[in-house]
Amino acid sequence: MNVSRMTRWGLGVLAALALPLINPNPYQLDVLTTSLLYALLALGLNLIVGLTGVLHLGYAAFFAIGAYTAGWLNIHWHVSFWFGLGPAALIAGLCGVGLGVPALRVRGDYLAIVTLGFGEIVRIAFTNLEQWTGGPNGLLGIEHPRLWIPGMGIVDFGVSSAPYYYLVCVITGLVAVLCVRLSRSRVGRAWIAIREDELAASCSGVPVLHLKLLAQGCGGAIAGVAGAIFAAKQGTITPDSFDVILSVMILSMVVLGGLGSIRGAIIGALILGTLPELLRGFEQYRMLVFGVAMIAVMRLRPQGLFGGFQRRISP
Amino acid sequence: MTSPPLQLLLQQLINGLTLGAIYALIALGYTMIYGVIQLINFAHGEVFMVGAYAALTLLLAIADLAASAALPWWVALAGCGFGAMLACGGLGLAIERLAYRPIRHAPRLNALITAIGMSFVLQNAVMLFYGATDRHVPSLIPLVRWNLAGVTVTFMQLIIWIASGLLMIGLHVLVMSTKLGMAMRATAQDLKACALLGVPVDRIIATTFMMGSALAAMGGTLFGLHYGTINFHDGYLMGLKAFTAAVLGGIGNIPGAMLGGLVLGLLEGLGAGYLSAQWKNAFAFVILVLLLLCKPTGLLGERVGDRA
Amino acid sequence: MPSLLDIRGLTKRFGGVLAIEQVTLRIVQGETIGLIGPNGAGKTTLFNCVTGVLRADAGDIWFGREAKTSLLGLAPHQIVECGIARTFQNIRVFSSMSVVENVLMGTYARTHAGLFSAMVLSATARREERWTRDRAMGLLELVGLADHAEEMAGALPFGLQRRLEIARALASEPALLLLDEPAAGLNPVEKQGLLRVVQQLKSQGLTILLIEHDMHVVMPISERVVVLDYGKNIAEGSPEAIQRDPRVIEAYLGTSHM
Repeated sequence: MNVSRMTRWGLGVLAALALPLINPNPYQLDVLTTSLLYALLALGLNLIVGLTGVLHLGYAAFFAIGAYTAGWLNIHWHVSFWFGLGPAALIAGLCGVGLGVPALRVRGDYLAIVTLGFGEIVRIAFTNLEQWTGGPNGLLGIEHPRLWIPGMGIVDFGVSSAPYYYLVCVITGLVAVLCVRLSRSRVGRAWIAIREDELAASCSGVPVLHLKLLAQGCGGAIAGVAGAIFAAKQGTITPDSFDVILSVMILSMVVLGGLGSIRGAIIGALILGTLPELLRGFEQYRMLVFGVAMIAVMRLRPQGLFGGFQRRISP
Repeated sequence: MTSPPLQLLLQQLINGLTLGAIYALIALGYTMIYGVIQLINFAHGEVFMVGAYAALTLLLAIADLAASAALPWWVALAGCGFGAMLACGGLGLAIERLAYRPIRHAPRLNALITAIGMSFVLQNAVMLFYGATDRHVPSLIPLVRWNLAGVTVTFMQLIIWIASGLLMIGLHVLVMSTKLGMAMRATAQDLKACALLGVPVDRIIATTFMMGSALAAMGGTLFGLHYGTINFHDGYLMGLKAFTAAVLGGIGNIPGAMLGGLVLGLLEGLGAGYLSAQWKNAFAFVILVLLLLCKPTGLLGERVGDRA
Repeated sequence: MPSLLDIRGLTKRFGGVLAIEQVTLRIVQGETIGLIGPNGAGKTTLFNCVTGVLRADAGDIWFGREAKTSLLGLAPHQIVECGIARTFQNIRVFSSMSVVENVLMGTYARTHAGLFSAMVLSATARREERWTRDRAMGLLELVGLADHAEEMAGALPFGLQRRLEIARALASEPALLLLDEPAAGLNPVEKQGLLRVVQQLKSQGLTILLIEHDMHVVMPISERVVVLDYGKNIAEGSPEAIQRDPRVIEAYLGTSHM
């Protein structure tokens, strides 16, 4: 990276870190944190939809699986947030692969419906398996993260906004960097080739099914991490938070940002995540706006804000 | 008082067939649209819901007339039903023209995303206009019921069967015996060839959307009258189930959609008796997922031609 | 002489149509074989069966030194790993990737950097990236596309895209290269360029199976020509003999097909 780019990145990072000090408004910080959490989810979905071209309508299910895994481990086995991240990511990732194995055999349109069905089945299951998931009331009493900070001792995140803001910034930033590295690597190239032309990719030596499953696993794992953060932040999680509307919302963020673009996923999430707050009083129009956004983007600028390509129409 | 098992079973079957008829009406729209442009019209379930609300609006408008006996119930029913069909036919045309036609040659993914967006727009438009709470549908059909050997059949159910039956027969005749129907079938088989032969494919596709939407509207009308309450969220659930029915019968296959609707209704009717209400919806999704994974061609086989 | 590729009795049906029937083809290491026949004779279907895109209904495909590995039932990427690469009749380059990235794609089967090494940018991964890049540039030079390395593949003219496909196929270090009508749509100058590239590949010992209609392309480079018609072998021999063979002439001009 050249000097000017590094300078820009450095300034951006500094600005992001300094924000809570400049504007400590907890409510606004919270909105930004939530948007950044959406950005994390969008990065994960981008791997699946943007990089491999698989339309996934049940992404919220992996978010739920991560949240419930971390939450359950915390409540029943007193696993702290930090140690819960790993299992949450692992289990959600495995579920991603597990769903992919049967589902990826199915052709495009039907695959979308299968993922939708899966998402709903997970939500309904979480609502009804009272013994494990607390049913409609969900899991209560999940501990907030605790971190030892030099000079401050052990800090409980509690319900203040700033600690979560930093947490999500760091994790989302880290995942973004990993995604960038991935997209420029042998694996990432293969994913893009699959999206472009599966047959040509296959005949060039790319094991298409394995790589699609890998994308599903990675996407699932990222959602799992987001879920663990969400559970620890909220303290209480209910199945209603993980419905198809959330799945579609994340999808619209990826679409707006541009399929396959990492920058786009983050910015799309920030835009669509903060927009409802900017239009206070127009809360109920939120879903309408998402719907219109998707139609408009597909019609006027299908590559979104930062995407640069159009998939080859399959023969 | 508990009914003997056989009569319980028959009752579930009767109820199931009623629901199935409504599923069939909606499923026909999915199957016809997929047949011509290979698109899962996610917004179709919402069209059904709009039909229910349209019928409700008309019903409330003429409620006074009907009550004062100036208008016999069956005229009111026909009026609301056809009014809803007209409204939704127009809605279908608009959706096709504004949202789907411009991107007909774009990659599949784009069309699916547009359809999802459209479904959200419709759902929320109705929610904003009519409110998020359930709306009550005034009863219109005389509350007559017959008891045949312990099994109850209501007049409403009979109306549903008759209305949906007539529409399905009408559609079948149209598709099989008219020039328009032939054009529709040909377009579904090979759109490019039809275009080259001078068939006005744009108009055929628009007509298909219109007809599918009109049928869904009648389904919505009957649904509202039968259950007495409607909610803006009904489109999503009924839509998915109707889609399951369309796939069950074989996507693109018109008799298949009718059969699929009835079979799904029967399955649900039977399941409702023996499954708890909470798992009922999961049951439908499980059927859908298993179907798509294991036998996506359905019972009567797909009828999907070459992509445009 | 030991065969590299040994196809025996290969048959493929599409519904009621027999695309290829009991086709036999033997290629010896280092040979270039031309596969010709009228349109619809089943040539591309044969390619598709060999490369795993289609599953043959009957017959055997043996590959490798002494033709001991059966290719039946293998997925396309596994067949690439065995050492067979192909180009397509309707060009299938990755349009939104750059020219060099297209060639890099071809190296997938010969490289190993996985998820983990990609994320941590390990020294092994970086070394492999450098090595594959150098190799890709070398291949681009071979086909004369080195100057276009960073351009979008979709923006290249048709003739250059064909060469890109060849470079991509070569990237997987194949022992056998399948070319599906590489000269189609090329002007005479471009065809000469193509011949030069193929001659160079031959001199490096590559075994080539070539589908082509233009006999001016087939003649200079093929040791043997195999002719298919209606999915069946009808003739085999040197290019000169084939050109004079009455069965072949009939197949193309179709006195008996009228």
